[in-house]
Amino acid sequence: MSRHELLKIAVSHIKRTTVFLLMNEVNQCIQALGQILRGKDQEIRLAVCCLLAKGHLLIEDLPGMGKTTLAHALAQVMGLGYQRVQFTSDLLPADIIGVTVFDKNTSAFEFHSGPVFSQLLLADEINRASPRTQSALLEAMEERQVSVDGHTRILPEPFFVVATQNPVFQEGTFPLPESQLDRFLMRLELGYPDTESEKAILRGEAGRNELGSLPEILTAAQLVEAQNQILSIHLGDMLLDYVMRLVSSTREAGYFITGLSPRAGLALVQAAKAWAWMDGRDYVIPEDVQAVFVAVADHRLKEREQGKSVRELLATTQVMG
Amino acid sequence: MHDLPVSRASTLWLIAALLMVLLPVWQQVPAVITLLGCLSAGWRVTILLGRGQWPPFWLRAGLILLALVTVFVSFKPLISLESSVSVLAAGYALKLLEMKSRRDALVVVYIGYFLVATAVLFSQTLLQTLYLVFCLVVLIAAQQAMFRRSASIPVKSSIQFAGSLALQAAPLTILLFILVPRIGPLWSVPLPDNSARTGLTDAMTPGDIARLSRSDELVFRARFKEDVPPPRQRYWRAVVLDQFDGETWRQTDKSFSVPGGQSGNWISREPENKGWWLNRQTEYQYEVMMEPTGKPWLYTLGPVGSVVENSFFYRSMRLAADQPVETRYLYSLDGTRPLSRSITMPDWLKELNVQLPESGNERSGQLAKELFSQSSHDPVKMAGRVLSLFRNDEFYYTLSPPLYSQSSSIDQFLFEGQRGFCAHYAGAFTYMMRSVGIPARVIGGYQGGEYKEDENLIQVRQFDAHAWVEIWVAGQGWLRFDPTAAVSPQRIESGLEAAVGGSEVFLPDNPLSLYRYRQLSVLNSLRLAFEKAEYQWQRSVVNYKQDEQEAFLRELLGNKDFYWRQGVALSAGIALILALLSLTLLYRRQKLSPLKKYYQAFCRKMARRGFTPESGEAELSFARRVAEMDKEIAEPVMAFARLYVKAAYQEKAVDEKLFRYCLSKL
Repeated sequence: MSRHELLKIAVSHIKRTTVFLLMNEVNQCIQALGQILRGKDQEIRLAVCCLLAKGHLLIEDLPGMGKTTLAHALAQVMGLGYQRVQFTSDLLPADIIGVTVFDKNTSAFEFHSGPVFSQLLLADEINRASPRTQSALLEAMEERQVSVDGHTRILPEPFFVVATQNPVFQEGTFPLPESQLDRFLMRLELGYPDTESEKAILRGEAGRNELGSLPEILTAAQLVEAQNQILSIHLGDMLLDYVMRLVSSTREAGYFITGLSPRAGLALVQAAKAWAWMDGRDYVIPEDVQAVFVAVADHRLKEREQGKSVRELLATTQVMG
Repeated sequence: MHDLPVSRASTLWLIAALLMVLLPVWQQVPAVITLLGCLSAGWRVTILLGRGQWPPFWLRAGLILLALVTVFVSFKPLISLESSVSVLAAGYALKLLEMKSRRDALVVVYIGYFLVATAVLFSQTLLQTLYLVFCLVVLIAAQQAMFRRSASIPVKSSIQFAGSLALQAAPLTILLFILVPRIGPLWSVPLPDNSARTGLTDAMTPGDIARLSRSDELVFRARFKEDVPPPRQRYWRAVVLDQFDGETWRQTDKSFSVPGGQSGNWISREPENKGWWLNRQTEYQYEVMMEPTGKPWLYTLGPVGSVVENSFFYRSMRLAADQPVETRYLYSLDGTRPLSRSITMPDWLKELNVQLPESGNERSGQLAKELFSQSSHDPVKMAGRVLSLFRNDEFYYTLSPPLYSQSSSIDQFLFEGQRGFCAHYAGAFTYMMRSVGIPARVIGGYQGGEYKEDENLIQVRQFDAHAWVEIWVAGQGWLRFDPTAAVSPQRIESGLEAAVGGSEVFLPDNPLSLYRYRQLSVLNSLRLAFEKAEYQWQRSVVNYKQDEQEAFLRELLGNKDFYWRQGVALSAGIALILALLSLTLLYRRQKLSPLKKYYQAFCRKMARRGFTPESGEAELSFARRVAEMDKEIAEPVMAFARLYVKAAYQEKAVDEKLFRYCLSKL
């Protein structure tokens, strides 16, 4: 091989090789969301990534930071049928799942489906509901089906729960149990917007007011199609070694009360795959894992007092074995 | 497990092992059995190739019968080591023909191991041992191939596996060899019969030694503690031929009884106490390792005055072991020899050494008498006259002399042929001495030898065989004369090869002998190195028997609580080796993949430019950071990183040339 040819081949590798079908649409979604929620590009990408990886999303922050806006906007650009439930301490499981009532005209029991029978369930302030109601949602989230009066009813496809919650130290909250936290693929914290973005909100150019003008970019069917593409993203052996190093360091080093479960590892890999897809690659690289790691792992791990934070863990784990 | 078929790879290994294992014992087993082995291997190959059928039962039974009959006919005492090995070899060869299941194959492998062990009973040379270890490796490979799943023939991996198994076993084997006490056998088989071995004989008829002269077979090695005798003093005594019947010189044996004397005057275990002579110390102290001869004689440098263990001393100043030497034998001599003036000569001994047949060789006797009167009846002057006769008349030294008739061979040699080698000259010389009443005898043995400086040893081969003469002179004892030296001084000074010169072919019977090619310096140094290794092997490994072991270990471990210490050393050694082996298993280093090597090379190059990856920084991010900070190398850095990421995480094969190219650009 001559030097010239070598150079040509080497340069050709610099260019991206894969452009997925639907990638454009997804990018448009991200842009549109960016118009609503200014200065939160990374969080928006993670949120989209979460949905692409078929995961449920938990958004946690103080009231008024745009959690609900983000959830609404997501549902709208993705073209999903959505229902919103405001969780309160007196909310009952039947309020979410639905009730069976006797119809006099037909003399038969009829099931009135609750808000859970939608493609996207917006569970606002989920930690204000009692544990009983929270656990009703649990089955729905994991099994993607509900059991009412002995009948098993399949939820629509796709099915997402986007929940928002206030920090636990706020008044009148029931902290979500670990088992339920584990059901969420990611937890995002939005944080205060930067000055420019906040000024735009104050001027009324962004935020909830603009929700109405948000176009429907994707359809539910297209979203399912993208999700299926993501399933076939390649996971190399060296990458899995890196993932295993990350996961086992959460278990061994004694930084955390409990380590990541295999389900958490699976979630990490799924999210990384979706991230790689969004980046136009059909294989996962360590950067994908690093991009999603904090969002995926943070809410599953309880730090010890003298432990490390999840970010520190990520920064100290060697990529090369 | 019983009906599992034998894999093709395993069968191939077993066929190879069959032929290899039969090789070291083929001289011991009848030819028919070796042929059966080849037939069986060949047949099995045709089956393997899908062209042959399994032999029917009647044929197998016939072959077994043939093998048994062969063994029955070939061995006269039926129960012997050779016959047992033959039966084993036949079983090994024929079992291959009905080896259909894994169970059969295992039986074949085990018989193979056993056959390898029996081969050691016949020969223990270094080469043979190395070869047998190789046979073991092949057998292990065959056994391992049986339990492999893959249908292909993994020749390399099987042999590697077997080799590594053998290597792992080596330290433990060596430890057990050194430390485990040697216990006498509970049962034994008759040892191999060596009577047919060629070598020096104790009956000298002209023609015998000429044949010996042409063999370069090793006879013995003598290692000297300090000084080494010069070539002209290297007379290695083995037999003393003091009886002549007109044709053949023989030596007087053990059963000789001294007329009117006490027993013990002819042979003794303690010559020092007999007062036959006074011993004096010589400067040469040496240790002899002799090859098996099947004869009891031991080799000594000149006449000896003391015995070594388990041997007899003959009054003719030679040593003989109690038993014929059937294995390599090591003994050391302190170098005492009789003080010549103190040697006594009783009448019966004088009579023995002037004995001649009553008739025959009259002309020689006549000549001797003439010479004796010319030298005024002085034995030494007489000897000088005979030597000058050999030197000045037309006598020649040759290895292929004419045939002399048996009844008057000395007359014919002295007056007609005048050609001969050491035996002719020594015989004629002795005859002439005896015929004038001077006690004289022919000494047989070896003269010369090859000196090896680095080990300070002399190596003697069969072609060094020689015969010379001793005569008795009152007041001076036995004096050595070598009539061959008068005819051909080079024979004594520089060995047979020089004496024969260009006129005759040296070692004509053995064109492949390494010794023939010793002018080629590479071959010669190879030969010397090999012989050195072989000598060391024999001396320190094969000769490491019960006594040697105990002496060695007592020196190593101390005398106190010796057996207890031996036991502790043994168990500690085993524990240590097993621990080391398991540690290496635990910490077996993982090999770096070529990909990681390239990345490390990349990191080294980057470090030279002042960039090191931060902890937790992935490859592509690192490359991006470098590319942003150093625009000059941005392109090759990014190209390398992309290639690397593709190869590592997409697991696409990337031409290594590309990696090297990108690295060369950095």
